[in-house]
Amino acid sequence: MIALSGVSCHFGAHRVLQDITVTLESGCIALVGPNGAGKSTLLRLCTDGGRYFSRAGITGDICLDGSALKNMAPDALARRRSFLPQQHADALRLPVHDLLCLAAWPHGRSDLASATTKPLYEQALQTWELTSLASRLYDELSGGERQRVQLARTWLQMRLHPLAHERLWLLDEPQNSLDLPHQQRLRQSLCQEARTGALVIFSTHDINFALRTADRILVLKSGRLHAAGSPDTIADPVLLQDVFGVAFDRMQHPADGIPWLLPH
Amino acid sequence: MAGDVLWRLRLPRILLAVFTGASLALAGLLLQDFFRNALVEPGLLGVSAGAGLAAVMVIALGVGGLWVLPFAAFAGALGALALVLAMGRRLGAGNAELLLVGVALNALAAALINLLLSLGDNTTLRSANFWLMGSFAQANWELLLPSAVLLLLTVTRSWQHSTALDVWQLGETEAAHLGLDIQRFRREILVLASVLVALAVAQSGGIGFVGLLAPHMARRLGFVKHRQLLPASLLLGAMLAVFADWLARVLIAPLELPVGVLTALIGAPAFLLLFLRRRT
Repeated sequence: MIALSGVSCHFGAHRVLQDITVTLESGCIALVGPNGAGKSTLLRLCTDGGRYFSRAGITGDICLDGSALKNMAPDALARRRSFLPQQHADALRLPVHDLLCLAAWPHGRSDLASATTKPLYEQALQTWELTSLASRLYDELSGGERQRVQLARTWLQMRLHPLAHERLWLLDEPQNSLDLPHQQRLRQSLCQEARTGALVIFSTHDINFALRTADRILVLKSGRLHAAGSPDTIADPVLLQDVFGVAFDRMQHPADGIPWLLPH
Repeated sequence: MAGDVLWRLRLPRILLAVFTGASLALAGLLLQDFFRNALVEPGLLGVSAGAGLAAVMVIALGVGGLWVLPFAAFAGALGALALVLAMGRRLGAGNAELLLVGVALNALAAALINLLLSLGDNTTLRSANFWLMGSFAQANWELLLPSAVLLLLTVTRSWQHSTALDVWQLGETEAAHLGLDIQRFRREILVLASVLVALAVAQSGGIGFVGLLAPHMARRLGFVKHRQLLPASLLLGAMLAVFADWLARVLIAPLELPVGVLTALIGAPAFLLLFLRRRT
């Protein structure tokens, strides 16, 4: 679906990404790496080709299904791809219901009341536990509630595309502000979409969340793709100590046997 | 006789107040949305200052005629807009840069207006001042008809953008990721707001505070979506202007106060009250 070849990005003299070459077809992909490793920039490049960055120098090719991402029309792109940014405008005075309906806008709808969209809307409310918040104003919600609204909005935007294998859901640190039960819901939702054929890419600082959620993990270090592979190969204390500068013990989760890393 | 007064004087005057109030209110709403800042008012872009400068130049030159002053003011407003857009593009078109260009244009136009006023004779000074303070007294059918058409066009276009204006509130990049062509949208909103300001200023002079107050009142009434905010702001702006004009006529009758003085006299305390009431 997305193919990056030789992608570099710099803001002035500061190199953020260097020579990234990777192909992402489908499944759930986690991006991990220290602060400033280039995770957010890589996600943005996969979202819009970096066209809205001011003063960024981008080289290399980023293709979505064979065509250059940066040349694709914003409305066509918005019908199959959604992006959850790390930060949101907080002065947004709209009821949650109306805000979620904006997800239908790229699909040429002004609401989610039709027979085909209503079940999706209900599902979004249920998944992110928003039913009781639907008429509340967004700017009066707590941080975690806002994050759930934004997750639901981007989920709806992507899900309204009829073809599962063309859906692309990008999330920059989606766990932000979420409590533990909602992190579990997030994990289920990410896995579920990936299973039905979508390409899901998210960044995280929680290595264990990445190990339990992703099919494939990309490790970024100083703007370079340091390692890529299955959770089992990435759960390597030597590799991770090299990247994060922290010593890890590798354990097995007693319940499901998935690798579990304990920093010390 | 009474019917004639109504038809020739009162009705056009009320309509001009309605058009001007509605134009300024919608311009204020569009610009507050555009900059995502509730403190923005239509004068900020330098467009009304451009109109004012052109109008004072015409007055100082002593050029007469029904169409000359409004057309000069309209041209001045659009000239200022062109300057803002061109400078914005050169500077990278960020919102902060656009505001800076507006501030600079306002200062420049104010200085040039003061220069013309200090060089002009007493008659120039009086009529220029009267114009700068705003009035609906010059209302006439010949000018009302074309401005009605222009107002209708800008309102329709703004209405078509109402959901896009909601989307825009998510943030510029988020709006782009929802498929909005943000460059085109930004340009269109700026042009729409400027035409609305030009429309108001060209016929009525400097009417302050309606553009700031009306969108705020609409929001205070609980409207949040642009499908509601747009008509509410238009209506409130029109009502404010008509009310201010009525006060301007009756307060010291048979003399008349400049209506721009009254909109500010009512508007500023009302604006402060809105904020004080929100605190409690």
